[in-house]
Amino acid sequence: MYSEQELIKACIRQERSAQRQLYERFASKLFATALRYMKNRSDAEDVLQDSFIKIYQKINSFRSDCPIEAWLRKIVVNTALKHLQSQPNYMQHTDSQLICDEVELDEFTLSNFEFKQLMEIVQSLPDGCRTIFNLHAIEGYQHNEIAAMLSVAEGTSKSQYSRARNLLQAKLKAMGISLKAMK
Amino acid sequence: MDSQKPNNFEKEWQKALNDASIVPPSDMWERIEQDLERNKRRPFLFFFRPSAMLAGVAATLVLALGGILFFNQKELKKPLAVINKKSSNSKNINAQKNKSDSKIDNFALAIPSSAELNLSTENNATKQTFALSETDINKRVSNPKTSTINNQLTALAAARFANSIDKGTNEPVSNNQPLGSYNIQTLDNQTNRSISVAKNDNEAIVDLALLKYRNCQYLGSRYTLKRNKLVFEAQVTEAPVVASNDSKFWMGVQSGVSPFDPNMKLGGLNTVAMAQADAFATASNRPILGPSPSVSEPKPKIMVSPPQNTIKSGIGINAGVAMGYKISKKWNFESGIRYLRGNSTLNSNTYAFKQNGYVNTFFANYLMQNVANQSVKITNVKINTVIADASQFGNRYEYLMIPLQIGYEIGLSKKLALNILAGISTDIFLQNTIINDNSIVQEKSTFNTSSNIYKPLNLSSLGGVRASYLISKHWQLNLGSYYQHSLFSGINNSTALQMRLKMFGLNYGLNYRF
Repeated sequence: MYSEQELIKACIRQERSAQRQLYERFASKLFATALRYMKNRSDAEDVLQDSFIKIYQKINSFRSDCPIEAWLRKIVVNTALKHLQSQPNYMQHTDSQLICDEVELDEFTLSNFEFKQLMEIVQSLPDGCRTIFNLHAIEGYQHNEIAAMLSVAEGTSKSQYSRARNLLQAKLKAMGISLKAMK
Repeated sequence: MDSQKPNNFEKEWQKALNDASIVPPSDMWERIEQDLERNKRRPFLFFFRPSAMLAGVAATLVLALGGILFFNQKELKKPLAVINKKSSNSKNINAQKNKSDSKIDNFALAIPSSAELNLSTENNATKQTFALSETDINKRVSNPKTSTINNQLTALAAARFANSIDKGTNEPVSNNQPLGSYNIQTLDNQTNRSISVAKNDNEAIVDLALLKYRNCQYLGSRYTLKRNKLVFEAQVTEAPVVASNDSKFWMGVQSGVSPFDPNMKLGGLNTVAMAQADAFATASNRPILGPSPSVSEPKPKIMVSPPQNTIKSGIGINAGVAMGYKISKKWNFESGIRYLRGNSTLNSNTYAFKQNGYVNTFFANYLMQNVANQSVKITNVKINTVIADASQFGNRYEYLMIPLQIGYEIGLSKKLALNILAGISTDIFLQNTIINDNSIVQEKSTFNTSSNIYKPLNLSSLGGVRASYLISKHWQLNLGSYYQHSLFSGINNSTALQMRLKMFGLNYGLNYRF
């Protein structure tokens, strides 16, 4: 069993056993990340596969001044974005379509939901909304950063996120749980 | 926007999804392993990879140089072989001297030892010796006072070559001094008459037994064994066609390979990036006044790491056509058109190019790093450097170049010359393809002149030394080194960046001289 530093060094040397160990250590978390971005499991598998190939090819550029998991996750996010951007009709909504009503979300909890349910709700979002929701709400990127990443206007990022919130709210309601009750 | 409202929406979703784990399919590792194995195999068009290309170019150069040296050696050996032919012939003649036969074959007896000496010192004049004119032969043979009995053989040989001239071999006629250096003795009338007979009957002379190799096979020199066929059958090679250096105009293909240094200067970009990140850190670390619903934990201390920029040179390869004109005996003018492709790698967290200019990414990368650390929450250690794989750009520059050069030629031999070249090149920028594997911003982008980053035209100084070798009457091989340096920055002045290409490498080519 390698320590993290040894594991990275062994992966740089392209040792297959180390590569496998790296996969086993992080694959589950990275697969969950890929699933959040992609619409279905099959696409998420493709993303995970491509990401690991990229990880093994580029691991020599990893520097130990940041956690390996953050680096791996960033690669998965990049790969997922690349897959999404290669799809036709990706992010084609205009701002005018995305103007939504104000949503009252003072405080709520998701602890009553199962993880699988939440993943299904997120995956049911349109591609653009889902991407921006993931980048902003989960990864924590600011709208100006997301705009730079996706080559869209900052306003588009904000409106897509707003739409994502409304859609999520609607889906949670459809599951029979009122937001008030979740407080 | 409602998204900016402070609430626990993001926090709840983060808590629910951020640390989630889902086991991938069981065959996923096998699929990855298969992909890794496939990538290990040699890719299609592997020779376009820089290392393979460099090895190929190096092999070509070695072959070309080896060829030049090999052919040069052969050319130098030829005259010596001819001289030795004569020496061995003379030895044979001396061996037969004691027989005192009156037949035509015995003309060989008359060659004195001094003739051998004279012949052996001929060096490059050998070909000229064989090129004796018929007029000279008649003059020498018909003068009873100055002719010698030993000259009979010389006259025969001369007559034989005169016959070759009559047959239209068109060998050059020039200095006959080596023949004139034979010892002179008295010629009796009978011998003189025999010479005249022999001269009039060239066929008989050609069939002379003394000119056949078998008569001298035991007395050969060190060259005889290796090149015995040349002893008397070298009419074709006695006066080889000399490549013409008098061509006024030439045209050909040229190529070159060198390290490609974009020679970039970042100006004050690092300082600006540092100042921005520092301002961000200062603002973030300031104590927060009043309660905020979104802040429930103590704020992490943010620090700033220095910006980094590392530029690595790549390989530049150019190829194109060249044409030249000889202005005078020593001076020539050369131009043409070349396509240049050069690559370099930039590892930077400071800036990234956009279609309408460059953006300072240090600030954004810094934020990403902090966000990533906070979201992963692996350790409590504060990671305060900018993200490690921020941006590794692979640049692939493409240019079209029109060089104008003046050359000064130093002739080393009839075939080999050295050219000293200097001039200027007009560089037309075609595009730069930036490949960025790790960054989120862009994966692959192409920037041409419409991006307003690169100047469409630039000038560079050009110089070098080149060896030219004539491999035949019209074809010429070139091999040399060159240096090229842009005179001005190839990037528009509106940006703080500067780029002055620098290349120092090998060039090679093939010209056809008209």
